[in-house]
Amino acid sequence: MRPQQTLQQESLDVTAESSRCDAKLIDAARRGAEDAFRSLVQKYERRLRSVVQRFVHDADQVDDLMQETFLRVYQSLHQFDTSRRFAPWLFQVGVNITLDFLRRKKRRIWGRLFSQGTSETDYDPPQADPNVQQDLQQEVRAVLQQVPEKFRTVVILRDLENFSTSEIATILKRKEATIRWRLAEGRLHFQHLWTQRQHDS
Amino acid sequence: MNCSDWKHDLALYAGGDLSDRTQVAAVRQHLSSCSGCQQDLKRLRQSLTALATPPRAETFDSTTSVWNSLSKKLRQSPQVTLRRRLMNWQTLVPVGSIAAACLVALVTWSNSHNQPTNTELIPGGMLSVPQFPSTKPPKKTTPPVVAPTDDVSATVR
Repeated sequence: MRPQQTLQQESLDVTAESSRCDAKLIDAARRGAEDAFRSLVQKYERRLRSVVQRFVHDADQVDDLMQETFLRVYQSLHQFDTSRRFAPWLFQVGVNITLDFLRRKKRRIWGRLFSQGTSETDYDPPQADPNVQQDLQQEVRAVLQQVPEKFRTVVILRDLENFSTSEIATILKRKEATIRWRLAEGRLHFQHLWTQRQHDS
Repeated sequence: MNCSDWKHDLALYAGGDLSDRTQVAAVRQHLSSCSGCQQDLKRLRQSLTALATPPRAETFDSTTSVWNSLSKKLRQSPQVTLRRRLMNWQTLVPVGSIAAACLVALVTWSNSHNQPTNTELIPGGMLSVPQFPSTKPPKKTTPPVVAPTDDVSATVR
């Protein structure tokens, strides 16, 4: 078994090589090379889809949000400092667009609820249905929805998508200490709700 | 420190997110003597295992790329088109060269024609264009030929 330090060094080398490759593609895309931007899209779209799907569960909306993300990134490419890593910036844009979308949706739902009384059928908060055998993933999703957003976002990015706390700090534009605090709070919230749910069922 | 003071460190320890080795050592030491925190850690790890459950295959797998729809939007975006033209050196270089050549020609022409001569100088400092002899005498109804000048107001008058 190779020492941990060697593995970490190899991982850093791969990351550095990937960043250099991204910087070249960004330079080419800035000069109008569509193929270069296509390479960037195809390199990151799977990961971005995975992240967006954690927050939004409608496939069409996920597609729209991904397109909006890449479009905004393309339009801001000239502002991007290529000495920085591309991926955290891309996910920063993607997560912000997704969270903004969810906030707008929430406001619309509450607005309609207040203006139309109780006739609203669009809002369907996730609840455990004892008659339906939900799979574990659906249960996790339902419980996670009850965790406050600022903690939930960090838990999703760390425990579901395996971003490091420093990467999450970059994505959410917060200090790493803040991210660690939110991560701990999020995990404790989730654990409390999860244990309660297991007891209830 | 009582057990509630350890809860944040335990939550981070459960996911391997305590970076400080002294903190890790302190948590381990506390755990070795606290059955309540051992139970909390067990519950935290169970919940983290549930969180790490991979999503169903159909929610993850997308065989179609967003590129096809995205590329259409990129081409339709006027900002992108404009920026692309502005940022393209292949366009900038010839346009800049032509502009520079025009500027040099204009300055040269202006300098050579600004030398005052006795025959071409007209009142007001404007320059006249040499008149070629006409075969027919000008009719009386024909408006007088006004020399093209740089002064627009003079032409209008």
